[in-house]
Amino acid sequence: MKRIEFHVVRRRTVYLGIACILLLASVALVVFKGFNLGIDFESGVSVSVKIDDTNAQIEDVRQALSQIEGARVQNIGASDDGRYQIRVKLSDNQTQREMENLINTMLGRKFSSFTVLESSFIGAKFSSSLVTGSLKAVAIALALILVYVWIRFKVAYAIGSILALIHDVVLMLGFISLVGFEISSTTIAAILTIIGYSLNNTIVIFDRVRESIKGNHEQELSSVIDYGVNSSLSRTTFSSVTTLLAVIPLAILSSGDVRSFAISMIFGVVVGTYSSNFLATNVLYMLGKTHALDILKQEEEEDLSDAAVARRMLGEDEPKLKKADRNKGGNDPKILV
Amino acid sequence: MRKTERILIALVVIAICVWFLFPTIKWYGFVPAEDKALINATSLQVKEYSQEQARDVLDYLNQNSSSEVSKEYSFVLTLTKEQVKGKGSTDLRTCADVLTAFSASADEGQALMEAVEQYCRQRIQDLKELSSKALQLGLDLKGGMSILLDVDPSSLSERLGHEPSESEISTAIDEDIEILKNRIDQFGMAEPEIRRQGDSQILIELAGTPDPGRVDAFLKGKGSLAFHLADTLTTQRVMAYFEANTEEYEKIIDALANDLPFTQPSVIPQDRMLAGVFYTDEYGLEQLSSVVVIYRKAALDGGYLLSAQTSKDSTSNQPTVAVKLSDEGGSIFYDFTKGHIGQPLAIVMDGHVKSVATIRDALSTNVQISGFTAKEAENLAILLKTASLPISVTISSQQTVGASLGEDSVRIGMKAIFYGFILVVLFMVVFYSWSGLIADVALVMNLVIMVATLGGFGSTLTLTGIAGLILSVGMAVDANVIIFERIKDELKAGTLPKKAVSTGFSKALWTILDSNITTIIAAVVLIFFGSSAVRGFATTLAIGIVSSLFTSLFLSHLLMDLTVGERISISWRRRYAVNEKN
Repeated sequence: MKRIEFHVVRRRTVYLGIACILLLASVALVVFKGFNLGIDFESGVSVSVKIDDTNAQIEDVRQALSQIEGARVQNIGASDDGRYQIRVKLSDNQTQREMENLINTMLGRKFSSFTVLESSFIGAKFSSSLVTGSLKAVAIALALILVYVWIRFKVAYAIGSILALIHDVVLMLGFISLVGFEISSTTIAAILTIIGYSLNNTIVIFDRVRESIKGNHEQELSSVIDYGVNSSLSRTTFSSVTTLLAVIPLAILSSGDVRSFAISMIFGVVVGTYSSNFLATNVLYMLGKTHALDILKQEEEEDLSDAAVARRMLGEDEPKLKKADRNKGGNDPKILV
Repeated sequence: MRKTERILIALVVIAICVWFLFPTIKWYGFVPAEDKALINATSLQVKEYSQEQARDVLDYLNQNSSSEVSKEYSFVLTLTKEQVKGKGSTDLRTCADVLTAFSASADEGQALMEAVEQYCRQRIQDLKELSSKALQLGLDLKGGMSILLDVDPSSLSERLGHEPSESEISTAIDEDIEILKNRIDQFGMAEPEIRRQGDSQILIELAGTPDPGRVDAFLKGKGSLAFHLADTLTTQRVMAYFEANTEEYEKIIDALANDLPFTQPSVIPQDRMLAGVFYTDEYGLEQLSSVVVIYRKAALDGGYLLSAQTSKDSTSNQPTVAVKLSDEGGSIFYDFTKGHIGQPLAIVMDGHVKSVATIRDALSTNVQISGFTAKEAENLAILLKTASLPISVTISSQQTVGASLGEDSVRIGMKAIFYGFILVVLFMVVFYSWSGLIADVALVMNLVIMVATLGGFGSTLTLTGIAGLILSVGMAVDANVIIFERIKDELKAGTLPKKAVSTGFSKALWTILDSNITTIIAAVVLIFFGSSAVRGFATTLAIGIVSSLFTSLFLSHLLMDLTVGERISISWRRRYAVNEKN
């Protein structure tokens, strides 16, 4: 079987070009098209109805209302009561009355007899302070990841992984804007999941790059990075495929919020895999190439043993390091960085 | 020797997980739906239900006194055996036996009914406990309780001193919503939904089956605790007055029991008032037990309270609350108590006298008070931590609601996740042969650990939590893949299987640790700073990463060590065996 090889660095203009175009497109989408904020973020109408047809199921109600975008249907009381709550946000220049009438007409087409029990205006679930609070949390998390990767690897790796994450988040936001999914707690969950997924991917590849640098002092940076990507290629494929296996059934079978969650996840897995393999690595290459941040030359601090350098960079004490050293067990067990 | 230790550790972890998983399995697998519905009941409903059951049992026994006790009522036999324990025959079969054992003819079945009531109460209590230990599904997946609150603008006008404008009311409602969110958070209820409804209502939806008593406490509870001097002499005088005016007495008692306004009896001086002393019955309902006259002006009001902590009185074993006062409050209280030693002091919470104690000594900033149930004490402690509502609320309606994502889509979603999981499991076997099976065992174990931990913490699983679960299952698979690829590399280089396994694991160690530690950093930050939805995701992710590290680095390693000998089966395409290369 012929092994597939990616010339990550040689083709970097292509890879980076694709990433840049997609980034720009996403930013444009977010700026000009904006988001479809769901009932979690905007105010709307809540209508309770009682459907007299005892055979009617929640699926039927959902189907009757399928033309009203983002309508949420849930049972009230016991499940065989036939009472449902419909929540839908109001679009611009639509009054509460108009929405109620629309729901009435839609239900009337499907069910012969039903009564509206209650109808009222409802406010948003999330306040803006909550959103900014969450964004702040994500920013703190990214900063700490940067520091960790910086300590365990080098600053260039940290910058590479963070840029890849930003790429993933922006592209996912662009995608969500493009297909018009509602922003809700579920879409936020999908984005967070992809951040975790992509970060994991990037670290695994960087780990291979670092290992290869350790073993081959003479080699070109570009070939070292190519090696990192290609040697972890089968792992990358396996992981992407297994994650996709888990979410594709969800995207095919489910509906509503769950489905948009699954579809966003699929897009995110693809984008995250791309950014880990082609974007993070090339950022690393360019930072290393400009010599602004040395990647290859860490072994040249003459007066100390490699292990001591490693120890200083890790901030670890002696016995711990020895253990780590033993665990590494690679070609060059003395070097950790 | 080392291997046995490792096996032992693995078994201990598995045993602990099964222990914590047990309530979840029992709750979802073995508790009938009608029993599950029981835990929704309010204290009042529990009381009515238990009393009705008791009457039912008595009627049944009386009507069928000659026949044997049917299966449906078999629990009565158990109760009867308890009753006659050590005195009399234990051979009980018929309804008449039961009636005699409780000597029902003498007290018209009172003792029997009490026993049945006690039994029902205990059963519901046990069910509630079980459900709190099982992993609960959130509002979006399972539904919960929807509570509609009416705001009372008059409480705001009292505070402001003028008729509030519409915008003032609106701001106050927004403040209320923030405070309620905070309170619900403090009470540890997962991912609630709080919205404003209409102009003057607040809609709260809580996951699962929150204890209605607790919900009531934190929604309405003002947490206002105050100390008032009680007047024994006037109390006696009022009681004498009531003996002569029974009609007025009954009216006032009725008003007090139901928190309604009433005119103070004329014998009470202007600066004092009549208040009800309440105790909490075995159902958790507040019952009026007596009345007492207290001074209107509080000796010390709740504004000086800093915090409250619950504890148990060492001598009486009754729950007490240790209240901490601010320095200013402490000095006011010290001066006051010093001047009133020997006089009774009433502890008043939200208008109800909880207890009356005699001042024995001058008290300062630390005050121990009694007359609370453990739950009330706990609620008070939480309410003191949050601000009071600027505009007070009353519960307008309360009903159960279905999954906010819709029962149908949740059902399909769960099925899809199950299929996805099966696909992943098969995929591992297809690509890694028998070693894939080991990864699958680790994977299933990972899931078991996660559900057990979430259940043990009393967490609620929502869709965002499931997202975290999927990510951590993905990372657990990934960890195994990284390890297997390393082992394959070693085997390709001609290393012997046993050595390849150990080198593979040690080479993969730091890769896996680095990628997992970065993710756990993110998860922990989100747990501490994120909003409730994000926190649900982060919690499952953090638990998932720890368990995936354990299953991949420890459990898989152990299983590989146990199964790999001369041969290793890690791919269908090529069998790596001893000396294949040589």
